[in-house]
Amino acid sequence: MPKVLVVTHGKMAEGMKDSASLILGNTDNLYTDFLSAGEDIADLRKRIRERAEEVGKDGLLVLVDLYGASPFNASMYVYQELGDRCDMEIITGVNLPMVIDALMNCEFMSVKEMKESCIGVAKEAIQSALDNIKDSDLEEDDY
Amino acid sequence: MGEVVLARVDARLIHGQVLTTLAGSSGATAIFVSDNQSANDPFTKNILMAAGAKTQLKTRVLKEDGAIRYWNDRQYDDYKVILLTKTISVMYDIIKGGVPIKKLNLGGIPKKPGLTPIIGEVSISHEELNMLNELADDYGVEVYFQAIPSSKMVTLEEANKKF
Repeated sequence: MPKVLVVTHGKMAEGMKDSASLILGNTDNLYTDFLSAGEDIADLRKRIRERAEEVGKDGLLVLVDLYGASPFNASMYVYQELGDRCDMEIITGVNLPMVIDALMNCEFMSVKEMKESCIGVAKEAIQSALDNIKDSDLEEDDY
Repeated sequence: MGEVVLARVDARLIHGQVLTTLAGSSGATAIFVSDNQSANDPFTKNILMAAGAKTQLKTRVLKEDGAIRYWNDRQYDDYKVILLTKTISVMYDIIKGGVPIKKLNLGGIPKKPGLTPIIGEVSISHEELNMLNELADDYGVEVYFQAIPSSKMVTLEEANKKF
């Protein structure tokens, strides 16, 4: 079964795990890692690599916070280094709906399918809250 | 003829846990909220309708007696319903009013002084316990305490021992 790894600048990843557990309860398939201030990116890269090697062919969906930033770069290098030793996908712009969706799907989907689903859900989750409540339909009956 | 597939007491009504883990799992085609305050306040009603719309399920915000009248008049049409109330007493009245409910999930009632915690997310009074016992004994309702499907379930029998 694929695993999910959230990697962020600072402790957002741990916070997202905490938030996801409030909604889902079980978050056993979710790993987190983060880059702390002043930390060598090589260390982060090494930890991601160890995680990816451990998971290997079961698959690892890596969710990072910012496109082009250090968690992204470290994950991309690991992807290149491991080649087909790990079935890996990387998504940027992690949000909570994405994390929840990934965890709900990992028992049923491949990493590639999880990636597709996550991206759809994460985009759909971004809505103008006020626009959505302006014209809800009125019921014709009196219940 | 419709049916209630899941009845849940949750002070938060429609919220993240309900949308994410319950809406898809119970075979439901509709979410009915029964709460006078929400039904009489257009803003609250609109928020609940907008949240429910995201599930693709038919969403209705009913008055407390409306949940009973709608059943008695039209048996909830053909909907398979997740029925939500904020309190045990509203659900008690709905069941006593004639709406058939087989399973009642106590999913979210916040702690307050004087209430007895049953699970982390649900605390109840002695009076509420009596209502639940009556529903189980006289109406055959299976009452259980559980926040989300993957978390620990506590039966009414176990809850009785906490008092």
